[in-house]
Amino acid sequence: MNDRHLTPDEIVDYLHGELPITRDAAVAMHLAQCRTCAEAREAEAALTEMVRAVAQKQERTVPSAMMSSIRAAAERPPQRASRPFWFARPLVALPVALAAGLAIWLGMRSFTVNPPKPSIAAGYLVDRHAITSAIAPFADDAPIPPVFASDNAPR
Amino acid sequence: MRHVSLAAAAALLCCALSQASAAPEPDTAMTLLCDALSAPATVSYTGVVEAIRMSREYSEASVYRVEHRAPDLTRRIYTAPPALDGESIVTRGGTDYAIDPKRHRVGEVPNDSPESREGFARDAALIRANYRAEVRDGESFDGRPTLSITAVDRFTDRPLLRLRIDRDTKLVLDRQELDVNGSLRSELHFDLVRFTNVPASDFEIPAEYTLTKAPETNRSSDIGRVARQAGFDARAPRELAEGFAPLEADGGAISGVRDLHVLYSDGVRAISLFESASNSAPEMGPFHPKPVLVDGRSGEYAVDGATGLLSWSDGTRCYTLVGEITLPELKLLALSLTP
Repeated sequence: MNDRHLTPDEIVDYLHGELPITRDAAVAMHLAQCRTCAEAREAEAALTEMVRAVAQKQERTVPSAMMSSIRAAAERPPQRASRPFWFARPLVALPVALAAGLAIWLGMRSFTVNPPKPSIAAGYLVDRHAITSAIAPFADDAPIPPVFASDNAPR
Repeated sequence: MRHVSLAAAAALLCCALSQASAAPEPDTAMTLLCDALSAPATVSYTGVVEAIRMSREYSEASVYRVEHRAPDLTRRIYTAPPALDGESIVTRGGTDYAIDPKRHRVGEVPNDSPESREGFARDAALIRANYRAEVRDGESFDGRPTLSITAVDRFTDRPLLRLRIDRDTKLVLDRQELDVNGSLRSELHFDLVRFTNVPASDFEIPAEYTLTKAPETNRSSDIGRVARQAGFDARAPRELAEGFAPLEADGGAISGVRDLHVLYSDGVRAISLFESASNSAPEMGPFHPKPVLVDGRSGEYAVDGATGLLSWSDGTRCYTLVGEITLPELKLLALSLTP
């Protein structure tokens, strides 16, 4: 194990917890001893995190009203068995319902969803607190004074 | 920086101290605390200061040479961290000048609002109300005899501040802030301290540098007035749990959202309450917030270094508490805001 470096696939599988337990332990031991592989693991982890962040940014949420109506429909007790009208048969009704649902959802997004509310970055609040809290007794003399905070300060 | 502008507060301090001495038992610890706060107004000194602040995620530290000429001139020349090497801050009364020799520029920032100097007796009263002080004699620090004083929070019975005070001059030579679990949160201590006169010319601002002034703010200790002028129906500031009292407020509009910022202190620690006219929470994404319940309402909690942020909404307003205190304490403070 220690005489060869890990393959990229092994590192990816290790990060995703997909290795068998004995193999997982061996890889962990190797990573603890091999700087090259540890750096490769860090790079892979950073890449995964970046991809995840991008995915989260692009994620869209189905409106809660739509989700609850779907859940309600799923939990509703089955109706008495009878032959439905032609327009209510699954082969026809399912695509129609999906299309209608999609149209309603898109319509809601276009016409009824409020514009995004303005928001303040939390970091701005932290900076504002740091600057003003210097007036509190014994609260002054921070290692990196706020007067540097927006310039060269190593934050 | 507060401690260098205390000349005007000396009389108020004497008033506070005379109230202390009128108590049935001599309040030597509190007298000593107040002496320590006012010492730079009468004592000139030079020395090297090392400051460090720790948190779970990261720590920050700095080393600087300090020169102080009583009552209110101070110069700090940074040698560490490397990013600040050579930069200095000169304090002249109520103004800080951040001097950047690499870029030949000076930033001018007020370090205190004029009204808040008058609040010095109130600060002493806050410390008296919220802390009990324990004094130990017979110690030394940096080769000088010191008195050690520990401020213990009356609400939690935990020591939160420890000072080593020079016996002769009452200057604070070492200051440790402690976490509620007793661990060291920050420390600032002197090395090579010398009590000597420093020429006034050391505190001059380079005239040839470009001067940039910080924008004006409406910070004031008249909190009611700032709240009334906030531009929305802001909640009237009130005392919070654990003895936190409002000190100052400022208001404004950021990203189109009007807000009111009130700074609270219990005499040792400070927290900020931001009340926003918008129902939307601040963007905490970079701090990896976690969901929490605040008085039955959903909120978010995040940490930036040693600073905690707790944000929640009551349906029409958004509130954010910011300070170097724990989540349970932030929640307690949030609960005390509930009418």
